[in-house]
Amino acid sequence: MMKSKIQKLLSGAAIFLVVYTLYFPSIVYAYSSAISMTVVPESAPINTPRTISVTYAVQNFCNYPTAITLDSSMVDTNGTLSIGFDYGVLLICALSFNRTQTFVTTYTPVKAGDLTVRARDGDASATALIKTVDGPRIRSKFDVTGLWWDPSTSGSGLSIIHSYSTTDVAVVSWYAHTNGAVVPYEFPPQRLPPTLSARWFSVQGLQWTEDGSVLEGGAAYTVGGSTCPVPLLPMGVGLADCPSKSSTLTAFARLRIKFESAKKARAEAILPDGKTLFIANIVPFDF
Amino acid sequence: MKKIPGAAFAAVLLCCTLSAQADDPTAGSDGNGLAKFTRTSNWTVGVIPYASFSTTPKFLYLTGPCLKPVDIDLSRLSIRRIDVRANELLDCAPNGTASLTVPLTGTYLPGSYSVFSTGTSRAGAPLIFGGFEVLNGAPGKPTMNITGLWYDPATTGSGVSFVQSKSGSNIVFGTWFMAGGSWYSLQQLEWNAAGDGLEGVAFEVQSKTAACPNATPCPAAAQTLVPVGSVSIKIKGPNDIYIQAFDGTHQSAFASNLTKLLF
Repeated sequence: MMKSKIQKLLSGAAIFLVVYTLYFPSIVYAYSSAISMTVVPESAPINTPRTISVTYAVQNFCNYPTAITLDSSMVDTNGTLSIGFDYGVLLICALSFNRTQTFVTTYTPVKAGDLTVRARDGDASATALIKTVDGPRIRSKFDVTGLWWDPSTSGSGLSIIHSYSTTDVAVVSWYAHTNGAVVPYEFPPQRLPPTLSARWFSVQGLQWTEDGSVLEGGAAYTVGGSTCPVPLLPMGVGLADCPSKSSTLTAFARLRIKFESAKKARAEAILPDGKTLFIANIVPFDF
Repeated sequence: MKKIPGAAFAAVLLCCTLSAQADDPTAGSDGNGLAKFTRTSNWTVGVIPYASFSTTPKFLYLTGPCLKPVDIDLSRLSIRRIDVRANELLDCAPNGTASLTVPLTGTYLPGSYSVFSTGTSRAGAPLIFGGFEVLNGAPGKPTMNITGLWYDPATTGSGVSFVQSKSGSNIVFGTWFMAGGSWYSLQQLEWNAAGDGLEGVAFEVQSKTAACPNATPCPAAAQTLVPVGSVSIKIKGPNDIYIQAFDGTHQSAFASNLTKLLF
């Protein structure tokens, strides 16, 4: 009788271990996370808003951040801006599963000098520098409103609307392609229909930098919040997508456009890890 | 005034569409004035854009459950009629929907046009016909410059970017951004006589495959520029536009009340 109880206990323990291992593998298996961070623009005059994008990648996770917090209490004492992570409720662990998410916040320096931005979560950390100089906000050198495209990739481009003569604010929409493949840095991974390879990005937090010839911002993608009433045609052509309210906006790259003139520019997309995604030599479409 | 967006951007992309059609064994011309393409039994036809001027490029839109070869007969254009002639009347299993667009050639005088079919499907299902309008006169002049970023407060995350010519040609290009991630290029936009509205075409731009390494988004050369619908734009005020999209058979697909983003 006693032996039977021990056997049952051992069996129960074994089952528990199996279930525990399957459902909470990060306790058993290696857990890793990495943080990368970009500040746009890195260097600018006082009162220029900076867009801080923090990308958090985690593997074999049991929990992951759902938001970030910005702590500026140490700015005046040690010149550090701290970023912390808020966590959601733990539901289930995942084995061999990657999750990457980008969080975006802004900070506007009111004094000249250097600030260190530090994001830390456990062993993972990243730092970036915010340089602030005296002087007024930089104004643009050129009126750049128009449709800009690279002749070698006709069918893609940038739509730039620029209030050159008034507020000097510019808004940029970048229309590109994805091969109907998975868009990176997106959770859950979103696979586009193979015939619907067009993909656009909103460029946020744009600022004029350097001598007013550089426009920098963060490229972000939207995810629709509703289903279109128009059915997707399984083959052929049709209006497969429709206007809907965006449920999320997620930054994934930094876009830097260097204007040589109002007729010539170089656009560069830079991923959070510093790698260049592409470089395009763009000109305004003349019509 | 410069002739419609014959200009490089559209031209480059359109040539891609035409060449792609020519490569398609089911599309192209038979050399006798008949544009060969594919048909479906029990299908629907229409023309994109639904309303346009004589000189505006037009596309026949066809959708239905299966595809079989047919001809487009343009010999009756003088009486405002296009015939879609079936070479054979085989029936097809309605196991899905196919659709395609074919560039229309020919000269179009103003008036209301009908698109007829010469047969029925073997099952006796009627081949539905459609129509389109060719407008009198020439495009008008705009009453305002609509360059800017426009959005519908009800669907923030989607919107339209319009860029109007700086050179006084009155040409407008638009990009309709959807929150789902896709975008349509709005081209062949022509001002109505009153200058308070535009009619044009929504194109889907498909890129060359394998253009983007590692599944990342990137600029890519267009492989095809496919007309997927008509767009009608009505200017209601300096910061107020109504835009509506129609499918190839002129059925309303969706619409937005746009407000100009002021900054």
